[in-house]
Amino acid sequence: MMSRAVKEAIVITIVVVVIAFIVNYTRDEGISLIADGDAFRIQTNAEFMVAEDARGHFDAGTAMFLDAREVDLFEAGHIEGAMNLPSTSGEVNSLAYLVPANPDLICYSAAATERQAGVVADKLLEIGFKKVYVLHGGLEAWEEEGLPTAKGN
Amino acid sequence: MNKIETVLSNKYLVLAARLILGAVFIYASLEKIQNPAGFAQAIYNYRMVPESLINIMAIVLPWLELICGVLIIVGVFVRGSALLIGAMLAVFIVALSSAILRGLDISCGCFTLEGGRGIAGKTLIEDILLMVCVGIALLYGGKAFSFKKGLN
Repeated sequence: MMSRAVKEAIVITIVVVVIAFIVNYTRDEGISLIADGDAFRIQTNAEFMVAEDARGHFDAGTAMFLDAREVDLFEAGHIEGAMNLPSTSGEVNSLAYLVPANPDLICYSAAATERQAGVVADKLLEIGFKKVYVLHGGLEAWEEEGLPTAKGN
Repeated sequence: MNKIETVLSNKYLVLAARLILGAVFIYASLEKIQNPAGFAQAIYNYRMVPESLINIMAIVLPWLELICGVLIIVGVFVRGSALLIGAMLAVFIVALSSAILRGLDISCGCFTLEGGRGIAGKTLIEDILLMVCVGIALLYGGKAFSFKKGLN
């Protein structure tokens, strides 16, 4: 009986691998077979800030929060008062003039895609902002602290 | 056949186990199939898989979840798909436990990739309960409500 299960499992696996590779090859969202390891790492020159410290800035109104995710995710829920500055939009440079220069700038994204926050933070540092941080653990860390979020734009 | 076996081999219990497994795995696969790059990042965050294998896993695993989920529901290759689902669950249980033990503060990557829930003991318990369903489907799944012509 078990040998039958194993045989079936092997057949399923072979068929699935073929389907998965064909689909991956033909679609726009497909990814390369071998990962570029650097693409996964958060590479940022900005410092990290934990949610607890970010809360202090939030309460005191001394920081501006920048959401590096895409617009739809931003609209589904973001840190209250945050501004959407998607890392992929290529608009960081053109939008950056909107970012007030005085307060600390805290960039964040989702924990699993924290890299996006790093990209935005680095661009802001390049432009010349000094006090730029990445929220460690992203929006999830913020929500875990029970801190306020908002929906819409 | 002793009492426990009689209960476990009840065809409606077996069907329920199959439907639960199928529904969970199909649901879990959808967002991962839509966003392979995001899933690759979620796998990377566990810091367990060699970088050269991450993308292959991100490409294949969601399809394995989807197709096993469909097969176990419609009743084709029930035991084979139960075996594969069991193998995937075993991997998830090891990965989750290891992440909890290492205190990794990462998104689970179980059902949603972006802004999903974090890793918690609760997820682990769910996986263990699903493993019980796998046991039932693997042992008794090849009979009622399924196409009997599997591979012999």
